[in-house]
Amino acid sequence: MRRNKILKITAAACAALTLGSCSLSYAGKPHTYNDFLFDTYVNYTVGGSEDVFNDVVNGLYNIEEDLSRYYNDKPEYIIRRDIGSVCYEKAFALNEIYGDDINVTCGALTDLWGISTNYDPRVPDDEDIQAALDTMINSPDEDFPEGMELDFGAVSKGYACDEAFKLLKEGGAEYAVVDLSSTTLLYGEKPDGSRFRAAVTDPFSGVGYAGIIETDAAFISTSGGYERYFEADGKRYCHILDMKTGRPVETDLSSVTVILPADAEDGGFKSDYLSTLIFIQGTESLSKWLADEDFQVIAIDADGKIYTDCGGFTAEKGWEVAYAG
Amino acid sequence: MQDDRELFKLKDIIIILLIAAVVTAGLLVPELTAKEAKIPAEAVIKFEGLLVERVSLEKDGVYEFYELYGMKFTVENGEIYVSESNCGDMTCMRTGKISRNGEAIICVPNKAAVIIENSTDYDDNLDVILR
Repeated sequence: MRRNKILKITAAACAALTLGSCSLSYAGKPHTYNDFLFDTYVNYTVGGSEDVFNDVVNGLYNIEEDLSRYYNDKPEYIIRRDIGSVCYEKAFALNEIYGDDINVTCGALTDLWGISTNYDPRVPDDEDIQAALDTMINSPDEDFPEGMELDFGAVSKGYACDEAFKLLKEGGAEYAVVDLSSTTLLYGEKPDGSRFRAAVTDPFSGVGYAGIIETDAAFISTSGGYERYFEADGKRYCHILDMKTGRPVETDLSSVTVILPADAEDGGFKSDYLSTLIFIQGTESLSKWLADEDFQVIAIDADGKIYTDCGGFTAEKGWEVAYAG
Repeated sequence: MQDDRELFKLKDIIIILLIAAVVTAGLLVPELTAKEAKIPAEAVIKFEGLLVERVSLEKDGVYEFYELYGMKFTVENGEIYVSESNCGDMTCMRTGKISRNGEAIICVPNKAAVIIENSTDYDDNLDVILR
């Protein structure tokens, strides 16, 4: 009888211990990773198995390698790879809908200005700009001109987030934050059930926030000229180039953020593409984009006024919201 | 002698529940207190994704990695900034001073990152900062 009791108590203690530790470790410690990829600082947090975490880390590494042109790869080689050809075609397919402001064949022009690659950027001659513009094509069916170079800078991070979404889904991850600096995937549901919180950087100082977005799973991209630029003769040149003039864009917006729900097809690719596009087009076209129901926009103009149709967005103190749809 | 065929008696159940309560409490307490304890605000300095130094923001100081990485960091009044860099692109120095949780200074050419951790003064509970 006595032995029996001790046995029972031991069994109960074991059961309690198991239950107790289970309830505490249900969320587990998320896996985290950071590195320099896509010409920026990336940071992943994955709540899920070690396998799915490794899949994301390796998957994104391969994408960056395939899309990169810093291995002196010719365009015909890049688009012969699966990832290269998919991005090339998707970008031109979006141009059919949205126009020619984004062009993935602008590599020669990007190199000429060298704003994000060169340590000593300068304003090139008009002749050189025209020559670089002549290497670009406006349709995927055109022959490649001499000197054409690909530049997936406006879409590569978005594409990477789309692929990360697929990997996380296949691997059964609970939640994840795939932060590629200007494009982010917020995946699944956080263990505490709260919504994701993303800050929009103050585009004037580059530190502090203009506001905070509360959202469910989503793709979010931000474009702005405040981080990468150079100054010459008192003029500031931002790293985003105008495909018509061949010069840095002269937009009256300082930052544009685009949000698509995580279940949107090619949501990352589109958010990346559209944030750049809306930034280039400026306030003039803004009402059209704010009315578009496929995505949400947070745009900040040159005076710091915020225009948004994003219900989850709260401006920080001192910021004026001029339009909230 | 009582009937011994019953698997668990009332007394057993009470003991079992007590043990369960103690065990759960024992597991919960460190978990809860850990969150409440105030950890001083720190900046984490990373090169190529690897942590090279944790720096307290509580006291002023200069942290030099010039020979190895070509960068120098300064902590002043609870904020940290890049005070020298050989990167040539200077985005890191232009970023200015940071002190809020999750804020970061990134130097792409030097593959360096400074990230604020544990700041309770400005904890916005952010998942990501879009830049």
